[in-house]
Amino acid sequence: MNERLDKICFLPPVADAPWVGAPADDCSISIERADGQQVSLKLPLFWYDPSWAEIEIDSADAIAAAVARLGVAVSALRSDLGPVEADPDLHQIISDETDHGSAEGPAYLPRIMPYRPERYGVSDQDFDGAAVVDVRIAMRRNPRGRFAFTPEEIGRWEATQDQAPLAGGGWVPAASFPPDVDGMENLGGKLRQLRLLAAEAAVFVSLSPYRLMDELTAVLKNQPDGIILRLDELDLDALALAQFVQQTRCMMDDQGSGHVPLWVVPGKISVDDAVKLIALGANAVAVDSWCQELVNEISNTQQNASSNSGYSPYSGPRVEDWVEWVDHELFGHIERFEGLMHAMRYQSPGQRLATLSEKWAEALSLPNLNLPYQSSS
Amino acid sequence: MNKQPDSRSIVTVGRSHSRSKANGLSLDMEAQELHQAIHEIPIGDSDEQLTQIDVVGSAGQDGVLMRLDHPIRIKMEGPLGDYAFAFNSQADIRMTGDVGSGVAEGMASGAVRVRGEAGVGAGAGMTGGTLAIYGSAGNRCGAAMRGGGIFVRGDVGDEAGVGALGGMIVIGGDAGHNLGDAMSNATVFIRGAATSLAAGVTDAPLRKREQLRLGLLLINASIRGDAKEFRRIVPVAMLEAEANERGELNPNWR
Repeated sequence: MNERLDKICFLPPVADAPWVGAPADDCSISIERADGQQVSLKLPLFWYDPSWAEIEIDSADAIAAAVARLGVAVSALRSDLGPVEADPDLHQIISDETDHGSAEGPAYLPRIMPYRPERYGVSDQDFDGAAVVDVRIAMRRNPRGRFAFTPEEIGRWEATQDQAPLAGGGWVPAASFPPDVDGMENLGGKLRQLRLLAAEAAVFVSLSPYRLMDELTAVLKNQPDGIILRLDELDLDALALAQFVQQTRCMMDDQGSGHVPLWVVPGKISVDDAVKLIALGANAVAVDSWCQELVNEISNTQQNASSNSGYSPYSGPRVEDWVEWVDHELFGHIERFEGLMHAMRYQSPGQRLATLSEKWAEALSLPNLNLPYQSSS
Repeated sequence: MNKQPDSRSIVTVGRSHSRSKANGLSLDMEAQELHQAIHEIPIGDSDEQLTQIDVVGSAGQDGVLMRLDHPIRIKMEGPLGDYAFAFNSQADIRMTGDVGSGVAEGMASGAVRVRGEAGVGAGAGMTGGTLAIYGSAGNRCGAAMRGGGIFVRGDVGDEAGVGALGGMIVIGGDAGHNLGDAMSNATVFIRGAATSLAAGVTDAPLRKREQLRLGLLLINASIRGDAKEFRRIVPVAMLEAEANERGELNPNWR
């Protein structure tokens, strides 16, 4: 896994720092909704935009639940992971605290509900147990370059008989803004509605970085519970990525939104990159590049199994094999992530990072470790 | 309209055929209590005898009676704010007064009848049921709907039916710009004129079976008019498929 932010290093405590016990807190995060209610997540990691339609529906549900069990919040609708009336693993109650006399409600795996302007595939049950409702604004280009949904996506969300595909079997244009919201100045009403529909979820707005100054300012006026910034839509070099995160955080702080979490979708990153982005100002980081490898592997295997099915009874790995494989692949990443996050807490927030590059030091206001020694003689 | 939906409402419960305050039950409750109380009301014996409740005191609130999933008839007075009756199933709601944006968003079944005007995005993302608006509706009426029917006695604004994948929109008056944009399996019936049709859709006369179907639907929605006065707006490719007698079973319109 290539490291993008390798010009930045983690700064350990100074040599004569007193011996203190390890910081006790874990990596969990707590988000405060605009109405004061708290939403907790085990890890500041999320899978923002899984391409569920690329793999068979049973496998999709199995790996979604497997990734979520590791503490990564996974974005999915019920229709992404199961047929109508099915109860996907990702959406099931994992423990019902009310059975034990606690005031807490039932517990669910960490899940993000994508609330696209078009709402294709959404059902009212998607709101139940979601940790985050992600109100996606501004069109997102799909991997084939279009502002549109693929026939496979529409087929997954709006499953009908094979002979009568609901969208006519073609591309369906995407929308940029919810059609039932009368302009950006009224987005706050939609966010309040979603807080009522999803009583235990934080309501985030995700947006693209192209017109960030204008659009972020306008969105923040509507008091979202958090912002998701889709930096993967730009082909950013490493320094620009770091600057975008740092400056967006500053921009939000300057506008009186210092309490609003900033989640970023950075594109391809390593585990160390994820921790560095958090040190630069992000509150959570998307790990789509780690998880998409799983989807690609499963997709390739399923396609091969499908093309060979006429010659061999072997139909590829079982769902349980994928779950085991997901655990194996991701567990190491998450263990290092937690380790780095833990170690970073020995330092105060402004003293966690440094660089050996003068250019990076200047651009990000980081300590430069590469100062030349000036002899006094 | 920004009044918070946790204001109190007064509810009167009775049978639709014998409703009166004398034999009913009057309750004063918060929005969440109201939602729970409605779901605890016993189901009536038949569609003709749905238990009916009158809800008063909700005027001006946003997000009124969302996610109801209970066969019950509700009468209420508006005006209501935004997103009233969103994601409902089974409930039969009859209200008098105007509604804000997104009325009956995501409705799956049941009915909402609005004797007044509706804001933008009426019936957005509906998957089933009936939304009848006896006034006019704003822009993007029926946007992204996937099923069900919307009846508007008056006019609709711009971009009606945008992105609709299924269902039907009946417009008793005129439509604004870009009617039927990015529409797939949905059908629009219009009695008046559209300022402009979106690229890729055209108007066509109703076929006999559609006249019959529309006539029945108009009666059910209590909208006066003869089905013959309507034209239908369909994707060009869909019309070509019909002309080629490929039927409507396997359309591929894009």
